[in-house]
Amino acid sequence: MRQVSARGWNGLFAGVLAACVLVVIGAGILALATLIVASAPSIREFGISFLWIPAWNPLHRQYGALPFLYGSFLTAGIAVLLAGVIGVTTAVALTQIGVRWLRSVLSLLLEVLAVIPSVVYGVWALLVIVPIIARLTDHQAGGSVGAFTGSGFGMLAGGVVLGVMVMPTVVAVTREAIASAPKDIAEAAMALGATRQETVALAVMPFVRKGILGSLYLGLARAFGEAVAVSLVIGNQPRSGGGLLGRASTLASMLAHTLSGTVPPLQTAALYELGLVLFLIAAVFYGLGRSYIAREAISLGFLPW
Amino acid sequence: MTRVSYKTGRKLKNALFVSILSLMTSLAVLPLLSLLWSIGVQGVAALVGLFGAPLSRGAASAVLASALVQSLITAAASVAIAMPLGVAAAIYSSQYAGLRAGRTIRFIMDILSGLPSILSGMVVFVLLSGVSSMLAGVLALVLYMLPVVVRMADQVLVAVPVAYIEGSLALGASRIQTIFAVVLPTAGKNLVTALLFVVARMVGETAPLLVILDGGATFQGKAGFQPLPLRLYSALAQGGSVSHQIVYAEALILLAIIVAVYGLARWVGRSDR
Amino acid sequence: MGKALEARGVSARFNEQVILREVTLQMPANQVTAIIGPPGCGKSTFIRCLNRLHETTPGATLSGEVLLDGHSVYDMDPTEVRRSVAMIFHRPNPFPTMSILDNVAVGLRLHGLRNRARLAESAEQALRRAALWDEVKDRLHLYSSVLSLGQQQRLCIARALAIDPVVVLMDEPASTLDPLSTLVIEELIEELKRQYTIIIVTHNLQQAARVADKTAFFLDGEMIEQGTTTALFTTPQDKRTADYVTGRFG
Ligand SMILES: Nc1ncnc2c1ncn2[C@@H]1O[C@H](COP(=O)(O)OP(=O)(O)OP(=O)(O)O)[C@@H](O)[C@H]1O
Ligand SMILES: [Mg+2]
Repeated sequence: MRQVSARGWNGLFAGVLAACVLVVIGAGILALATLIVASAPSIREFGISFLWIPAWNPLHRQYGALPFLYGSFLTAGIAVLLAGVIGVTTAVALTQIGVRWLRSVLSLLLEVLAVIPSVVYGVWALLVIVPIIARLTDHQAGGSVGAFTGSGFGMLAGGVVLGVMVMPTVVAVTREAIASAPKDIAEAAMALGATRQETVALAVMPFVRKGILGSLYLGLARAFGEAVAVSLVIGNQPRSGGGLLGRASTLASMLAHTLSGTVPPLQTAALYELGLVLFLIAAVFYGLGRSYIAREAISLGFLPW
Repeated sequence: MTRVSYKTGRKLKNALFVSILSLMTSLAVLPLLSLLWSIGVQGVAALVGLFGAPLSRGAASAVLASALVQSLITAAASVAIAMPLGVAAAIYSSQYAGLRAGRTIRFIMDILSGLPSILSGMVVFVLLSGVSSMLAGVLALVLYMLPVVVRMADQVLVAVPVAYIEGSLALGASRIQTIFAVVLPTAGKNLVTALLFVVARMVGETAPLLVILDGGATFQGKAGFQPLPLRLYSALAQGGSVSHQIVYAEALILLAIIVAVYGLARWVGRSDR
Repeated sequence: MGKALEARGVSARFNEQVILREVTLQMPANQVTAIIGPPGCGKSTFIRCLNRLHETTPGATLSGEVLLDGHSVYDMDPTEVRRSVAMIFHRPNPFPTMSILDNVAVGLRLHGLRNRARLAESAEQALRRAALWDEVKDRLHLYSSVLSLGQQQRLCIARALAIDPVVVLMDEPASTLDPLSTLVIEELIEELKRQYTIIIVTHNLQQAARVADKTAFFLDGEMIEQGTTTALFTTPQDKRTADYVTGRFG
């Protein structure tokens, strides 16, 4: 009978843990490989031009990513613009002004916003946002409410919902960045007789630029990857062009919308290629965002998607 | 040195600053209030409508109960797989991996966390060659939760002061003993909070299940497995608008469950004061 | 010229915890008043009440009166109070994102001076008063981080002097500095009291004895004893003061 030494147990334990790391990484690689294999027919058929073929036309077996890239970038742009402006100022407010109990109540409420499932956001958007946009715009459109516009569905509705979904991320990450900005520098400004506003501009903001940038990238990643809520309100029309009020599709919303039905093989491959493109873009944004954020907190703001 | 009076302009600017901040903060919480209000009102009305009428009561409660149970089973199964695996990987990256290796693992996890949830469903769909089952749904959830669990757990474990760990090792404790006696208990509360956050997100997640279960089940008429979020989505996507009472009821129930899990996470993670 | 400062029954608290109890202290114009006492007794909190910086901390509240030349600072605009009552912190904290010149000029800019030539002139004057001019005159446009710690602390003094205060509060201004820089700062204080009223918190009893005209001893949030520095160190009235200044304090 040989005795297993403590050293042996330690080595075994470390080995098991390392295996877990490998399993997780392996699962990721498998996922990526699966996406590539499943999109192979489409990659072979269209090559790199898949990225700029401006149409998605199952009748002519013509599939391109451009309409969805257009929709994704525009909606994510609207979302990050909204969430950036409102979220960053809110983060400043929650750290600089107001009484403490109000600050903590508001922070808590904003965290709840991060935890609400996207399908519930979808219900809310259908109940509230789409009707509001419809009411505001149908007058201007006059009689010309065509198949592609009107009734509130479209790019703007998608962007607004995404903006609300992205905002908790921006608030949480920016707040964390402000909290870790050096206090003594801010006090130096106040001791010189700076007002709150001057203190923030002079001695707080210079230290949180990276954090804000990071939060916006994380927001972009989430906005790109969000499928469910957007697909319910964007109108699901693959078009490159068409304004804010036009119906459109994003990469993710297209996947949610189409994959729940039965589709022909080449189209399936093209859909998987859309997924591949989506993954690459989202991973780049997510990685970029994380790289800007040095200190982390346990916060819902850091959860992706 | 002469004094320049400049007071009024600065005061105005500061007042403007404060008002803009207040306005923006109100704008930020407005969506939440609107969401809670609209879904709360409609949801309660729907529940009253469904359960008030004897005819619909049985059917409604059967549908809701089965969706609820399926949701919870799916979530529980995914948690049971993803948590141990993810936390184990995080223990490795935070306690065993060197500086370089740790950074590499974190970087890879960051990239993998960028995997949008809808894609994990698509991947599992291909891997299981279209078999739609609860297992596929669970795997899809696990696939996209894993890197996130690793990352969240890692950042909690890394925060355990090195001095504690070195203190324990200096007393002659082995690495395993140190991990179970020092690292995990110290990180315990924060770890549970972080994991509960993940659970809260997992319960309401729709997208990974969408491809597998919706494509496989609803449209082929064998609506055997339909967790709550998925039922909601199918109803909305098919109707194009919110027309059924049951949709509001489901949305409200889902919301309530998730806010409850979130509240639990916050309660566990509260600072003792 | 400096102006007299007076605290009347100042109490301060963080949340529910009382940090200062009814502190009354006169700080005469153009004199150096030293505040001594063991760590955590509320020295920093006290001087932060004098320029209304205490109230900017979350959870901080206070009561009592602080009079600057007979006028209550709590009836004035806080930014104006801080402009008249400048503060030096225990760790040098120049703005790391600004040049040396901008560090000194920023206070004047805040208070509305825009003319570049006059800004440069005032900055030079302040740097001279802080005995730093000769060391930095060729590097005015470099970041403040190129300076040594002692120089950075003098830069902070110059920054404070540039806005023409009447009182200068110093919270252990030399505690992070080497002996030589400490000496420079002490000489500077001697020089500055001709134009300003100075209140200095210090752990270093020799330093208090060297620079201060008047000294107050704090313990557990209370002002135990005050008097001329010589009197307090040689003939303390309270046993606790005696224990502390003779180093018998446990
Ligand atoms: N922001 C804060 N919140 C809560 N309590 C605080 C805060 N700042 C200081 N305190 C407490 O107030 C008490 C007095 O602190 P203060 O900094 O005034 O002491 P001090 O005499 O300056 O000490 P030291 O000599 O160490 O600088 C301490 O017990 C400290 O723990
Ligand atoms: Mg102090």
